[in-house]
Amino acid sequence: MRARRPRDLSELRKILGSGKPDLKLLAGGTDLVVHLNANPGEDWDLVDLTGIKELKRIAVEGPFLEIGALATFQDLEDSQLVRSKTACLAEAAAMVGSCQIRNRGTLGGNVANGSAAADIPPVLCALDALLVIESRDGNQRTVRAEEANPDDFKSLAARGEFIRKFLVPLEERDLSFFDKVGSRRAVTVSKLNLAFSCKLQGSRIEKPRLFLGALAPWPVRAVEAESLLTSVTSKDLAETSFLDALSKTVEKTIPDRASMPYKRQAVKGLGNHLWANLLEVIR
Amino acid sequence: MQIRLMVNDRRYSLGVDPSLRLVDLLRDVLGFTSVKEGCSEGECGACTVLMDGKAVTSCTIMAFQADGSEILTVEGLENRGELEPIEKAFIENDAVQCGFCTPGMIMSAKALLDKKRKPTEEDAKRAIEGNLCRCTGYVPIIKSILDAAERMEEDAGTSS
Repeated sequence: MRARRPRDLSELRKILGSGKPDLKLLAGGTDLVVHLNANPGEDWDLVDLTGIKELKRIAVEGPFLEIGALATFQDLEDSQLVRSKTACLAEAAAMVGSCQIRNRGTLGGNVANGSAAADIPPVLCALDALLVIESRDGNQRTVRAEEANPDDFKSLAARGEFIRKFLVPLEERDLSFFDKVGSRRAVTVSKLNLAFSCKLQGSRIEKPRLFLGALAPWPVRAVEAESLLTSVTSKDLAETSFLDALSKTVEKTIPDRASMPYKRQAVKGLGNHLWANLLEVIR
Repeated sequence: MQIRLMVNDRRYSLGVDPSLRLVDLLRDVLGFTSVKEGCSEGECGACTVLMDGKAVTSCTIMAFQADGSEILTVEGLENRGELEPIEKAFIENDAVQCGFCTPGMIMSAKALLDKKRKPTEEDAKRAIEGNLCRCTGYVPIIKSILDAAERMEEDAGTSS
């Protein structure tokens, strides 16, 4: 195994520019180090990002909250900016793993690791965030979280790229929400998760963005449930039809999966929590 | 790879194999055997140490990633004279049975108590949610953490 630990972005760019096809990026290591230890025969050429302070920045930049890819879950939970501007992101971060994992696991790693059960991707989709991917020559490209392809992350370093930061639009959100269901209350991997954001106009819900995670390789937008929320005023909203719409999205997404009968029920539990939050603000 | 780090207030500069994890460095190379390896997956918390003041599982960190950091284990707490109130609280509340989880529990407790002098029961539960104990059922450990906080508060009161 080979490893390098760049101290700043220019050193990182130089390493990525070396044209080595087997380079892999290492961040908090909460998944990758476990894999490396379990598979000692594998040959890895690692580039550790945790020494690069520039990748940990959290700040407001114009119309966005900019969050560096190496911000840890604990950084997100502790950040007054994240808590006040994007509450559901702070909530999701606070529900990841244990203290030890939150102190090491990073936003960029959670996304780039490509786990279907990751908690952060649905939140980024619900907040309509942008991923900023930088290449070794300093050029940047942006990808809307909703349109990202997890396969794209597997070969980032080999293509001379890395996730630089995330941009979360600061436009006023009246409600944002995250919840998950796992096999226990804390330190649990999501069996299913749900992230939501919307604006409110009087008692009407506007611009809802509702995403389900741990259902497919990347979060799935629950379009039927969203349109139900926008089509009626609050007094006509019926919880059962909303929950049924969520269930339908699950059935449609994973019709043949053994976990479908469980997940179409489980999504109603998450929907019920969201519903209670919605009622609190619109009635 | 050449790395420099502080472990238990002592400077080290040493060459490490890129495949060495922090837990291996602490236990096998430097001899800090309070750091236990349980699950090797960051789930059980037996290998918990403080890295720059934060509780981390040393089995999910490569040794070279600790370059430039400060690591604290139970041995370091003892050298600093900071172990006693936590140790006494754990003993008097029967929070130790087989003892395998204890060093990790103590380091998670230390991380909490450094951040919050008067933790609530909820704080204590959350601080050790990443530490498994298969003997005590957690109740005595949670009591110990709250008790340790009181002891530390008393000690601070006596010395000021």
